[in-house]
Amino acid sequence: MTMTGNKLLFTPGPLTTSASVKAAMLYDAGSRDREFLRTVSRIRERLLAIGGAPSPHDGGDFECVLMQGSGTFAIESVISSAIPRDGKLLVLVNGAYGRRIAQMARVHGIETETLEIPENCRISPEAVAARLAASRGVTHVAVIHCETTTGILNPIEAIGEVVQAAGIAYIVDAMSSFGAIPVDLSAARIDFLISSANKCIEGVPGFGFVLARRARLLEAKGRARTLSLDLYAQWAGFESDGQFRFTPPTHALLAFHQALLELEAEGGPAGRAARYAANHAALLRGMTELGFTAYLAPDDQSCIITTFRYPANPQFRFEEFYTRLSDLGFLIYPGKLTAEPCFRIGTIGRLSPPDIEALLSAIRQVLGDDGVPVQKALDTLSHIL
Amino acid sequence: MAKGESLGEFEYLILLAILRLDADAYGMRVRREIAERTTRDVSIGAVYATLDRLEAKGLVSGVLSDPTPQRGGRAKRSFHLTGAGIAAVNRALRESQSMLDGLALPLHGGAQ
Repeated sequence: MTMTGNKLLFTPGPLTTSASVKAAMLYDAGSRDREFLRTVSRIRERLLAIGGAPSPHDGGDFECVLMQGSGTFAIESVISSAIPRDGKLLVLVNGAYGRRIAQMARVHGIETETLEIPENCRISPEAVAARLAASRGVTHVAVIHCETTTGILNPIEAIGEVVQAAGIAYIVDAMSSFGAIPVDLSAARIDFLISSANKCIEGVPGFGFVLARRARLLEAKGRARTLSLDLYAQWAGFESDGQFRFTPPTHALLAFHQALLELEAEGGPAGRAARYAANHAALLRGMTELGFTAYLAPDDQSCIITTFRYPANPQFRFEEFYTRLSDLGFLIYPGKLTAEPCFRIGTIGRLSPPDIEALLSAIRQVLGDDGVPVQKALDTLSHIL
Repeated sequence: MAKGESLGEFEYLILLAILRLDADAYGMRVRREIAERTTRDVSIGAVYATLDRLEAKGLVSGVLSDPTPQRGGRAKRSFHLTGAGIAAVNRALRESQSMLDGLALPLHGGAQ
């Protein structure tokens, strides 16, 4: 395949994007050009609105800070900037991305503890309350909204209530959920929410963003442990002249502005959630018919990404399965569970139920292209693959 | 206004809300005005997006006030109709009145 042929991405991101989002990148913008800075300003305002927060120019209490790099960079900007030298972070972990936050905090020498929950269980607010009651000196709590390791959705509103009651700052990694799962920053008591351009807003990779309660952001002044990921300084830069402190990903920003317009046209996060839910329902129905089982209980499962167990046949080779689907133009994703072999299929991005049906047809073809009936194919996978 | 750029319903409501609010036409106030008068659930994102679009069409203009301590040191942005915006409202009103003229309203038999 050449890169001129677009495959459909059933992944957690980067994702399949619309033609108009891609077309928005056909322009070269000057990083200090007035029109470009206006676009950046609109992006910041729109992102706050998605979180239910009014613009700072409209009496709002939250600020939006864009940060170059992947979503992980934006998370690290919060972790390395918001927590004081004598602070302590509690990370709520039920997957790889929670562990990554703990890892980055330790790299920065931040005192860190974790509350470890099995990967197939949601983090309960009661467990968080119990840990906070038993721990001393916790100043910040971090949690993943949709833990992409499995696709599980953690109850950030209920956890936020517990965290706020303890007077602790609340950090939410909403990387895989923001834009598709409605969230109200104030109601969820969030102090820092982090997400990225190439997830549910359906832009392209290049930057992440932080929606920060202004009072908490102001506290971060002088706390940063890095230069380029200094969250406060990045915000102060935007406020002084509207510009990024360092080279902005201009094309990704133009694409993102178009993606925001398309999100709005789809009815905002609620409209997008409806399409993703339809994708997820079609996928689950089809995969179940093919004999695959989902890792999570239905009540815990988000519509973002779904983890499927390997078939029982020990001869199943994910690499072969993946490659053959890729050859047909469909990219799925490997698993990331610590305990069990699995793979993942994302249902976000510019995909709709007909795309899911096309993927399911391709899976049927891969599993049954030697003429063995599909249901039987799962039992004889070693022969097929 | 060019062909194909007639006012959408929500755009029309926003222009009317700005007129009603006069000097207090900030985004959140516009949202509240529409929500209270129409009992619709209006998202702030939809208001900002529409204000952006109206500004791009040249129908409204946003003005940043001077920052004050009462506003947390932040400037506030209010909106007013441009001449083209006023003309657009007048045209929409004329068209609406013309279409309504002679009809016996309100209609009966619709869903409640």
